[in-house]
Amino acid sequence: MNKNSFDIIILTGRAGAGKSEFIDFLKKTPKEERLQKYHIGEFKELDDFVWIWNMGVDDDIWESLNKPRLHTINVGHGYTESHDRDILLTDFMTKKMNHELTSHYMSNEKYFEDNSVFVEFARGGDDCFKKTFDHFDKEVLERAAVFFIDNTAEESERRNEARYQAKAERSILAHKTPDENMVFYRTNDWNKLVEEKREGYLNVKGVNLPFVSVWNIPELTDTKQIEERFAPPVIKLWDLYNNR
Amino acid sequence: MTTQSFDNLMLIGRAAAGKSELIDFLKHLSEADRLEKYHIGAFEEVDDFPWLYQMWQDEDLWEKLGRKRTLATKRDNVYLTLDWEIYDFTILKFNREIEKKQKENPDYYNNNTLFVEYARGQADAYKKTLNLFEKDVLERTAIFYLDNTFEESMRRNTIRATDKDTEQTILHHRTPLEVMEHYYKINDWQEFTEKKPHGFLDVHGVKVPFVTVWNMPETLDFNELEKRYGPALDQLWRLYVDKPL
Repeated sequence: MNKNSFDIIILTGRAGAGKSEFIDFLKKTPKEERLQKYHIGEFKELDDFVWIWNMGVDDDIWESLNKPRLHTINVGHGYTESHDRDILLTDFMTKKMNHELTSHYMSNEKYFEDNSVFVEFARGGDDCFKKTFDHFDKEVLERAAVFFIDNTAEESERRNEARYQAKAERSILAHKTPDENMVFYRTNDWNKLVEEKREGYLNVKGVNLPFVSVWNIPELTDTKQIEERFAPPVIKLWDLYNNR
Repeated sequence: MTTQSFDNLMLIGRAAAGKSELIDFLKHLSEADRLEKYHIGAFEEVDDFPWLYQMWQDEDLWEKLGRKRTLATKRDNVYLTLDWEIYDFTILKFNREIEKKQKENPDYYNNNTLFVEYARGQADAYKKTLNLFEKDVLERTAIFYLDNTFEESMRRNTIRATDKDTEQTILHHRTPLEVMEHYYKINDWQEFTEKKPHGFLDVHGVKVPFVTVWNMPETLDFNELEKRYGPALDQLWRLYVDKPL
């Protein structure tokens, strides 16, 4: 590999773990510096929260036509899915992200010459991350690295609510991950999957998928401190990605 | 009204009536020229075909996961509608998207015209559809209807499907022949407008200005297009600024 930037970065963790803060940190870093230090030049984001939200709004429309909702439940301050369904919306979303990557990005090799794609999602449940990674095609996994942002369930619930309240003061369009979903995010299989390691490789479909896990507590607002927290793991992830 | 440009310009007609060609014609003009001649400066388009296409493609993924299709079936690489209420759904989605643009930018219409593009068919096509739009939306809307014969629509639609273009794609959105025959063959535009070439439609108590443009024969000649579209847009503008309350 002689290119200087990641192809695909899977950015994941609980809802309210700090994924948006990490993206914000990258966006505030000048492009040249970002490429040189962190191996991330221009980038696009695929975020399934946005897709789920839009499906929820579409379901509101179906309901207004006296038709059944297709995918979501409206809980007033956001949308959740019915977890008793045979096929989970989150599984569909993973398939959709995989489809977007293969059909819109990987089909255009020039894109990855100096651009990256962030794939962002939150998952919860006993086998959530194992199941999610298994939904990606091998060809996607071969070009991906995982940046996991770790915190406690209590901290992610606190941040989710605080972020919503701050937005609600400024905009009537404010939204949050519904409390009903936050309960679902209390448990996950990340630490079991990575055997409590903070960095290394996950074996998925025979692919060595590099990962780093970043402890993101306490919440930081100081730019310098944010850089000190996120910069070393990104650099480490590049090392793992480039030498797998 | 002190505005210099249309707010919402509804661009409608049969599938393959020439809506994309009109947009293409306008895009070839400079913004200043377009504003001065046609009262359309910067513009954006909302078109329900990409929404429909995305929903049908999503069903491909659901189907792979084991869920039954409900919106459209797929045969020979084209989508055939199963749930016809999807066409009402997209009109309500237009309402939402238009409202969103104004919420995100209260000055949106100071600098922009929003094209709202769709095609409808059947005996109650446009009467039903226009009644699904919010009153607030209609109050800022003018309608540009592109008219042609069903046979001409079929001809243009078939040309979109070349030998190489056997798959329905977002760029080459030919409509399946069965859908053309079943859905687009007739519509109520002439009846709804009482065969007038221009005037006002009364919807939700709002006088919505319209013009109907005969879009045959097909031409790519810029001067011919200017002669065809220019007077119609001018007429529509006069109706739009002078519409009765």
